[in-house]
Amino acid sequence: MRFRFLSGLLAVMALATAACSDEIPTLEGDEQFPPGGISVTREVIIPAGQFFRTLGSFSGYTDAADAPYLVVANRYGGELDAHGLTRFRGFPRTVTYVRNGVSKSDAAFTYLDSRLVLGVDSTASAGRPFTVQVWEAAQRWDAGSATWTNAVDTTGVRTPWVEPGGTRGPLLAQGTYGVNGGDSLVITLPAAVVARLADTLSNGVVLTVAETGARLELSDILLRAAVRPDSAIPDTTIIFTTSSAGQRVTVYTPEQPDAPAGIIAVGGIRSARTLLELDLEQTVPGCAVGQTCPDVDLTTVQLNQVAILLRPTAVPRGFGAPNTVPIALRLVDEPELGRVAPVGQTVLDADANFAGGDSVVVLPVTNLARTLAANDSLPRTFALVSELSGTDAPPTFGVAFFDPDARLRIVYTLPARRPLP
Amino acid sequence: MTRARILGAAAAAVALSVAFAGAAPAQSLLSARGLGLPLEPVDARARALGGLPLGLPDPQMSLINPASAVGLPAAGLAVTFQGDEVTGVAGDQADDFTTSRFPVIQVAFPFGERWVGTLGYGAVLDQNWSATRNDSIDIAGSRLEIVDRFRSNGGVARLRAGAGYRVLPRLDVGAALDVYTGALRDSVFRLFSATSGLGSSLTGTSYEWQGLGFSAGARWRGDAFSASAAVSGGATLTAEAQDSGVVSKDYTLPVQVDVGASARIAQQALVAVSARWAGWSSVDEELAAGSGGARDVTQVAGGVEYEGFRFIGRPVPVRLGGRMTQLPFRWDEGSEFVDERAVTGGLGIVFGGGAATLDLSAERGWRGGDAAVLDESFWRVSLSMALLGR
Repeated sequence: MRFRFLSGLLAVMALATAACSDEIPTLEGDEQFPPGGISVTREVIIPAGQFFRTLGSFSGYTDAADAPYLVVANRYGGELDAHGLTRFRGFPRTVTYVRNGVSKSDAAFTYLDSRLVLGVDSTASAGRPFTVQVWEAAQRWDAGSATWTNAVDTTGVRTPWVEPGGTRGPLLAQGTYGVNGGDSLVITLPAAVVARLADTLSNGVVLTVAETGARLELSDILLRAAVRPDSAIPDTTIIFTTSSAGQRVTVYTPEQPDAPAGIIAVGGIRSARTLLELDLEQTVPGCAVGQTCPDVDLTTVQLNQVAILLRPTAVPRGFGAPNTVPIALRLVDEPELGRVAPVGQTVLDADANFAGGDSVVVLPVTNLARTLAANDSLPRTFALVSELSGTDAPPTFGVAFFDPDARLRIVYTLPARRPLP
Repeated sequence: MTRARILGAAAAAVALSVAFAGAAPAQSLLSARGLGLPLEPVDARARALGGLPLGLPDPQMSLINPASAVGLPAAGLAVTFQGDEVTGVAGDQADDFTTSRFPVIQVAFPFGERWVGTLGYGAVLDQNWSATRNDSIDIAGSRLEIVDRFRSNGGVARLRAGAGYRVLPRLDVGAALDVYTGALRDSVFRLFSATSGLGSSLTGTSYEWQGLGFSAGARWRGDAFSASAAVSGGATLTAEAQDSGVVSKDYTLPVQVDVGASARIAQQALVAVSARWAGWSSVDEELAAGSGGARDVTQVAGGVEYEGFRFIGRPVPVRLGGRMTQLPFRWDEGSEFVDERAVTGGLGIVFGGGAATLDLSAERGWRGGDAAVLDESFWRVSLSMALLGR
């Protein structure tokens, strides 16, 4: 009995202790820190020669047929021409509607003036309006293989365009994207044009931009087709949305440029990648700025940030990326395989992106540096790639080039140790 | 209750005590000074009598006097729980905080007519405190906001194994071996703003406290008067470095002498007083320059216990007391050493003719003053349970 009493009371005491909100007294201000109790944080910049070597740049892992977007350009960057080809699918065979509470279907209906909705992802013509033109495609083409010069370019079948860039029929419609244009451009298509596009034998449309120097990237294209059932009252209008998914491709010229020797190329419609060798086992000064001391290994300091800094350089042929290029660094076990070297897991601490106006790209590799410093048997070769998680599609049409004079920025904190009182 | 059960309960209590002692926050801003804040390993009854460490006539478990447990009729266990609420001001520093812990746990095993063995675990020094500051530094050409934090976690505890012997019908003596344990871990944080992209850093340094000491005590019990004395010392306390970046260091723990006496002034009233001297100046030379040094300290405590009240047929002793204590360390070199004053009160309840007792105490105390820079006030509540296995 007494033992139970004892046990119960002990439990109550333990619970009371656990339940109490213990607080540690906290002093504030520099003078309250003991000698040696304040950390020292430093930054060092390691030049490329000490840690960075380019093994080679490769491309051709994707093509325009893999891209979910379309690009239209007219001598952009002085060279790039690009047209968007698209067909629409999902036009109605019958139209069902409700009249006086009764559902009716009518296979006889009439197309009305309809709207072509272009989702605008990015433009390279900020500050001036430009005109998007919609032409009827006058030649059959293959969405999986069409190029600037060939309408079909599959194994055993190669059919050149009569007109490079997509043989065009009549101009169907056009619309102006204003100086402050939003995220979409709506172009009205006459009823007769919609009826022709609804024909299963239609070759679709060719999208171009009229002004020299303009470039437009379209994330989606929808045709909102308006129809009126013949049996309905005259003011009845029914809207169908037809999709161009899987039935569109960008044809362009010239080809995406390869990286000059030593230059780091990443991304683009052909998914350029560069193989690198990194030596992150560096040493850093073991004392505060202004003091003299031996260097110490990274394993003996706290790494606040380790980052590879890349400077962008100009991309020729109008292939500079006006939008954001996502960049990843992936492990490569067999760099000797070059272009076909398999890439492994990503090693960046966080997503890295390069936007057109950036003067430097920061690749955060703090965790990688910690891992490599602690384990010298891990591979030191990597692939710099552009990718979006969950898709093999090239994230951007444009490619990013970087100078080979990369820098390694190490921000670290030296261990703080107070002497005993 | 069997000895095995006592041992099992003691083991559980020690585990609780150690577990919560390890996380126990400080009881004073003075934990940041010198070797920390000295702690008194006494139970709630002693706390209610002013913090009286020894001098009472009846047998009891004590981490001060190894002879005190002589005369216990059966094996016993005593556990104390304690909670503090502190309001502190030191210069431009002000902080309010609360703490809770198991400051002392003891077991005793009488054997034969004259002998008793004791085992106890209690806190000796509290070294829990922290400091923080806001600043900015230049990194990568940018001025970045930072927050620095220094945190000291730990303290010194004492495991005491002792034996007591009844030399004469009225005279008991005892001796004990003290094993000093504990740890001190410094953690230094540097926090950057989330937008900086820089990860925070944490560096740590650990020491383990080690040392051996000895203590001895005696108690004389008259019909209405009793007197006790105890002395402890001989310990070198070593902070054993646990990593390569720091070095170990030794401190000479003080010799401490306690004397106490009690007198029954009425059939149901007892008066008890005690005095202490502790030679903390032994570490004065060993402390780092600028730490403020250390001094020898004294303590005087006393109280009255009245046993005339009963509750549901059980005795309910009521206690009042007070104490004056000098503390060995000071806030800084320019300030005076700190004194502590407290008034105390409490009551207990006795079950089974003394087989089990519960004691509760409350203290209102003050430390320091203008000249000491530190000015603290605190409330402390202690709850003790003692159980004999007869």
